[in-house]
Amino acid sequence: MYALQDFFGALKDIRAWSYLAMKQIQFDYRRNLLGTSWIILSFALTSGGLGWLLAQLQGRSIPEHVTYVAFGFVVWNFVLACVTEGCTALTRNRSLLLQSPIGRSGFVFSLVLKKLYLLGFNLLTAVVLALILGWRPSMTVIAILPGILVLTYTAVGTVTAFAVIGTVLRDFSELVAAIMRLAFFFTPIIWYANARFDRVGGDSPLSLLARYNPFSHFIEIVRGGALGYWPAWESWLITLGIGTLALIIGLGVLQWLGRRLVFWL
Amino acid sequence: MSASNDFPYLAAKDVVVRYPIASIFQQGRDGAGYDALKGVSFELKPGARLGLIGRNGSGKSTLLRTLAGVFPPSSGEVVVRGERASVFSKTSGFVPNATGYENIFLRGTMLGLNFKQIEAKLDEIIAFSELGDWIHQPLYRYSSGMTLRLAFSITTCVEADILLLDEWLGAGDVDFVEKARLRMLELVENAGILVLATHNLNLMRGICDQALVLNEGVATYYDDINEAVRFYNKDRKSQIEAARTNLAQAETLNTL
Repeated sequence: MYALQDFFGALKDIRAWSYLAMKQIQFDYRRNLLGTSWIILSFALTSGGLGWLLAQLQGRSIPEHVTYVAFGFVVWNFVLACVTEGCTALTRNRSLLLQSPIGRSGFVFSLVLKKLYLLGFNLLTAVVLALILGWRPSMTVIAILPGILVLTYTAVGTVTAFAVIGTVLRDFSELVAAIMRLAFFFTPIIWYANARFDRVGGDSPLSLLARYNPFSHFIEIVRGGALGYWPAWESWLITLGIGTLALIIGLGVLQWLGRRLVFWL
Repeated sequence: MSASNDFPYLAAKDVVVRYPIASIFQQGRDGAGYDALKGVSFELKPGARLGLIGRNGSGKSTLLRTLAGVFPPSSGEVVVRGERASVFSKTSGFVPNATGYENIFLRGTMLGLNFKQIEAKLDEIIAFSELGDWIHQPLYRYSSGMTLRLAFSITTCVEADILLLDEWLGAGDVDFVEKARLRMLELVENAGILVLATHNLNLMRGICDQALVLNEGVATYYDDINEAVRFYNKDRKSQIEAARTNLAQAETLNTL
């Protein structure tokens, strides 16, 4: 089968792809004075600033909310980058794909690994920021690891699907970008689901939104452990389910269109 | 037939390549499209050096990409025995912010080499490119000729049985084009196969022994290189004359 051959062929070359991903991050920042430090600086600035602002708006304690926002952003930056850049993962490498019969999945792995490295940087920054603000890790931080694994698993399938669809259907990336802009505000990243309604009891509209929004479960499986509780089992099930579905769809469209993709580049 | 007589081997059998024009929704099973190649056939034995001649849009690049395995033929087939290496664009796989040295690794990885293989060839690549200390400068500071020299050096260090090159030697100076010509001949000397598309017919005559003339996706001539060039020039002249006649007629009409 073409799709599986392509997929496992790229997996065999994973060292080359991860080298390219790592180098790519360096090259992106090479001509800047501060270089790769920008990754840390811009992350600290956004999550610190937005955390402070939203703490004021919701009347939550500043250190607590900045920590909450920082760990949320660790996941959201990864999800957003994979989903939006995934649409152009193949079109961006047009000249390489038209050069030799190179596999498609390699570009997927390269993108996901690059974003995974950035997630690592961001997580480290979030931890340092939180420690300064008085956050102390508990046993549950070990849940971050399987959380990141599930994120990566989902990203591989999603990027495969989006890269193929984004190539043959150029409107797709616009649609994805529009949805993601909205999703950022509809996901509890900078706001807290129970901030306004926890005294009333029962299901607030915001907590319902958080429950039925798939993005919030992806945030939860990493942020939960960081904030000192075990992520709910339903979050694990939902995220793993979405990841598997994405992988099936991804391999499906790759099998269907992968070989002929070059005609649309 | 002995084993050495059919390795490497490259043949095209009635190859048709159809570019889809319609969107993915409108595309049927076979789909509407534009036939860039309309049934091209040839057979290349070990040591063959084929030149592709044709005007812009005649299907040269499409044919090369089909031979490289980039485009799947819509019908017909390409038969390949041996490792292929192709260079169609001098910048692909290059990162402008990376140094020439780093780009050797980037492009080498893309060509399917591992780090050890690249390291073993590093000195040879740098020497052939004649870049000297420039190799440690970022690529965006290079002139297009320097980029070309680096790209050519990296690609031809891959030990391939079949080398596919598209029109791209244009940016090199006279000395480097001559050096590249010798390198290509050296590569096919050990019974490799070379397919080259270029508008520089003199360069082609210095490398190739046979040629295929393409016109709107159809092979109009396939034989000896000198005959092919003569055929192509005659064809071109008659077309230019036809155009002149049309122009003269149009002018006559205007003056009336």
